[in-house]
Amino acid sequence: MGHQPFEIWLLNEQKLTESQSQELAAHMVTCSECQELRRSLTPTIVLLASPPIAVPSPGFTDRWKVNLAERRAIQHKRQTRLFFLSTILGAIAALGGLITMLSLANISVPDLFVSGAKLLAGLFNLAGDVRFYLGSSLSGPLPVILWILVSVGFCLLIFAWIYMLWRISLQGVPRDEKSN
Amino acid sequence: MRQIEQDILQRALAGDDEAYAQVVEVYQTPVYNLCYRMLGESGEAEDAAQETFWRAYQALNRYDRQRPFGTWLLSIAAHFCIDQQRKHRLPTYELDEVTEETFPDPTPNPEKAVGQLEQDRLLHQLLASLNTQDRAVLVLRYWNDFSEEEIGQALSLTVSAVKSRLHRARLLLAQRWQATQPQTALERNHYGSPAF
Repeated sequence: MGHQPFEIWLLNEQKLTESQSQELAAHMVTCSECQELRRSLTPTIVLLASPPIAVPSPGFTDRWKVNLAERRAIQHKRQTRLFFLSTILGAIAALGGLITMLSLANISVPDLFVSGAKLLAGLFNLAGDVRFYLGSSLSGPLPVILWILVSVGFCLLIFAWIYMLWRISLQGVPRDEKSN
Repeated sequence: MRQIEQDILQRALAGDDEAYAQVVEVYQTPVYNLCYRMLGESGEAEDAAQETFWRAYQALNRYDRQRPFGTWLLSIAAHFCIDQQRKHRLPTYELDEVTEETFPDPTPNPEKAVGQLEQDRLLHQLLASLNTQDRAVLVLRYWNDFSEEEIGQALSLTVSAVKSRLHRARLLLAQRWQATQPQTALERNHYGSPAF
C-alpha cells in the first residue's frame, strides 16, 4: 500500500485542508503502518512541544568576565610575541636586503667599513661645526646645565618611544576608551 | 527567548564590556540550552556557550543590525557545536549527566522533578540518535521557536532543506520512540515506508 502523501501529511506541521483531513482519515482506517507512525509520532511531538530548558550553573556571567580577562591576556601575549617576532624578522630582512644590495653594487666588506668610518668622521665634523656655530653665536661657552637638560630631554623622548611601543605591543589598541 | 534592550545592545556594540556582560546575562540560557542539546554534556555545553559569547564578542563589528541579535548569537552557537561534533565524530551524549541542577524547578515537587528528569533523559536519547545538522534544526525549531526561514538563515540552509531535515528528524524520532516502547518493539519490524 502507498503511504504517500499521508506520511508527509502526518510528519508535516502544516494544517491540512478539509479534503486532505478526510483522505487521511480514510487511509488511517485501513493502513496499520500509518496508524503505527501516528501512535509513535504523537508522544514525541508532545514531548517536543514543551521541552525542558537546560540552564547553566549559577555565576555564568561572572565566569564569562573571568574568561574574557584570561582570553584578552592570552591575546596580548600573542600580540607581543608577534610584534617582537615581526621586528626581528624585519631587521633580518633589512640586513639581508642590504647585503644583497652591497653584493649587487660590488662593494666589498672592507670598503663598507672604510665608508662607515668616513661617515662617522663626517658626523663628528658636523657636530664640531654646530658646536662652533652655537659657541660663536652665543656669548661665551654654553652652561653645563643646558647640556644636561638637553640630554635628559633626549633620554625622555627615547623612553617615551619605548613605552609607547611596549604599550601598543602588550595592551593593544583598546576597542573603546570607555570600556577601559 | 528574552529580547535585549536596544540601548544595552547599542552600548555593547560600541565596545562597552559591562553592557556586553548584560547581554551574556540575558542570552546565557538559550545559548547554553542549545549547546547542551547539541553536545549532551553539561561541561562541554558550558565551554561551548562561553566560546560562543567570545566569538560573538570578537565579531560584534560584523553583526548585521537588521537581524535579530538572538538569532545571530544562536547561529554562532549552532555552527560551533556542529564543528565540535564533527571534530569528535562520535556523539558525546552521556545519559547519566542529566541532573536536577540542569533543570532547576522553583516548586519543590519530587514526583514532578523525577518525571522531568525521565522526560529529559528520553529526549537526550532521542536527540542523540539524530545527525548533528538534524539535531540543530530540531533544537532551533522546538526550543527556540525559530521559523523555517530563521533556521535556514542560522544554519546556512535553504528553506526546503530545513523542511526536509525537519521531516526526516520527526520520522526518526518517531521510530526511535517506538524502539523505546517494549510492547511495540515487535510490531516495529513490520513498519516499512516506501518513501525512505
